[in-house]
Amino acid sequence: MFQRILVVFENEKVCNDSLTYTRELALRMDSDITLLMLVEMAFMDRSYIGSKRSAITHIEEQMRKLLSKITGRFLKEGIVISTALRIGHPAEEFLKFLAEKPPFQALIWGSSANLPEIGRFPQNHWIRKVAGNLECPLLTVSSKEQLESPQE
Amino acid sequence: MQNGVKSTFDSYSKLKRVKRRLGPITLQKPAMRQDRQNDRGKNSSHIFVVDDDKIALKNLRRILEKDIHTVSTFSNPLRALKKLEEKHCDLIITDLKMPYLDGISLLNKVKLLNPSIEVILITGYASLDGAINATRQGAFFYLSKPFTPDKMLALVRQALKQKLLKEDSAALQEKNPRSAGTYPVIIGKSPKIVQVEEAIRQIAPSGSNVLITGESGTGKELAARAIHYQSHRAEGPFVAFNCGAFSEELIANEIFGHEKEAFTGATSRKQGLLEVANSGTVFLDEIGDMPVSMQIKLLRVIQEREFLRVGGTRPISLDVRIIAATGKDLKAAMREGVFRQDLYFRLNVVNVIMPRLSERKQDIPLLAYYMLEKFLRRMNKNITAISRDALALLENYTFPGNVRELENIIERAVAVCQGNTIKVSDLPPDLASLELYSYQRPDSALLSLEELEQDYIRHILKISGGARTQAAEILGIDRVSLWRKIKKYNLE
Repeated sequence: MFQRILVVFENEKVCNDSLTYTRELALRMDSDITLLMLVEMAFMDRSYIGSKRSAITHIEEQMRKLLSKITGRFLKEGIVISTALRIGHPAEEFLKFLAEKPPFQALIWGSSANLPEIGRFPQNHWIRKVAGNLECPLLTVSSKEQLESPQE
Repeated sequence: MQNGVKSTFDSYSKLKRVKRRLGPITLQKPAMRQDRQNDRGKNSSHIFVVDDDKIALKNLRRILEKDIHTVSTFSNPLRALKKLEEKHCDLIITDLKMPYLDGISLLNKVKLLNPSIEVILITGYASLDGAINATRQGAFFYLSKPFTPDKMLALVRQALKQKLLKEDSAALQEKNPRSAGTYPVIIGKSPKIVQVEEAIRQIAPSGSNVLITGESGTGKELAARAIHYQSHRAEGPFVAFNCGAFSEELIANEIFGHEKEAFTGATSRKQGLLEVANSGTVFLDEIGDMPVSMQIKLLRVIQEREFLRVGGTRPISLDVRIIAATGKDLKAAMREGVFRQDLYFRLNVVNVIMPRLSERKQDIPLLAYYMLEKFLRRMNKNITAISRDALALLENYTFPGNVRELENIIERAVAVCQGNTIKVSDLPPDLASLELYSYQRPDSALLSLEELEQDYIRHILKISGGARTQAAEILGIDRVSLWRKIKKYNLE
């Protein structure tokens, strides 16, 4: 059964084309959508949040607003949608989330048209490190016009 | 000699009087028979009686109407034949010797028109030869005059029962693809799907357990059905169960069934899927999502060939073939300890790998036209083709939902298409305006390092709009190395 699509976002960045494609795919496949927002934050001592407590509360409030704004677009179409927020090391949190949840049939990168890069070493970004070893293909979406126009 | 129709439905009020006299009658009929009769909009069978003797017609009508049948009488067999083309009839009772057309000729013509109609021949000059001849031609019975009303009624009931049995059997044959001579069809001519078809043909008769792996929407259940219908268990049931959709308790209850009072709410004994599928095939979909405790029970079933219902103490022996399917990497699941190794080896006697649709793009036009034809029949539309642009768009799409996604796209296109050709505008808007790139698992793609490099360089060149400096920067190599690789892989 093609039932669950997971859209992964990083640090508040949302790509409109990814959302458009996710909506179309969910309608086409009669699937549920889960939006996962990953926010990077380093915790030296995992057992004690300490001074980060107020920062986390602030992030949670901000993400709640952003995610509820996004979910509205899907709910209007009658698509079942749920959201999740994970704060910490993105790769670890992402893999932990996948392990905890029932399997997804499609993963869509929702933060940019292509997978993000870090300077001259694109493979250093955490999503590039895990992209090839996920339970199903990770899809990136970009508009065709954008691709066809030369960038040089 | 008698000519013309003597009477047809003129006795409806008389029939009602007869019914009133007989009082309320409850007939216990099988569901299929009841449905069919309701479809016809009446509760009794329709019998044509053909005889050139008016008194015989009158007597037969009286006898048959007592048994709540609708009777039409004809003194001319040709009129009866003509009426047969217009009206429904279950049984014909005809005299053997008649003017214009004798009983045997009428029998032959009736069987040509509708082979399911039963015919009883009656004659005042019964002979062994005549009886043999009539039976050879397909008559239900050859009855000699004089006969008692009870004998006639018993014969009519038998004939009608036989007709219903024949119709039920025909309906069952339609439902059972094996007996109708058709199998689940795997569409495609690409080498990967031809390999799958060949593997199915080879393993189907063996009776071994099969593990089908492949992504969601690649047709794992279709392959399982194909194996079942090509095996010697084809006459047995095919039972499919999705292990990922239920909790552990529900899976146990569904697979093994339960005894009465096994738990609160178990008011009666329930047969499990394994029991229902006995002498057939069980298809366990999403086996990778089965809880470990259930995996132990399933392993025991496979090893011992017997099981216990939930709350039961008596083992039930079993003769089923198990076909399991998963979209997950079971080897990785075994390494993580979430899938039992012994069960994996028990199930993975033969492994069939269903290819992704993106791996067999050459099948897309074939599949698209096959699905178009399927939906045209359902939606009653007049679409003759898929435009070249639309087909090219489909061929270049990644299809993360595989064949199921293609099916949904075609269904949508047929629904929205106004003309007689499916155009790009009839396809979902994201197909035309958005570009999709898929980062596949390296283990399932089975690409060589060179192929992977070639694919990745092509992708980077595409997203950089052909700008080599930028592409080289993204790839982390210098321009000269990139130029050399472009030349090597012919990516100009």
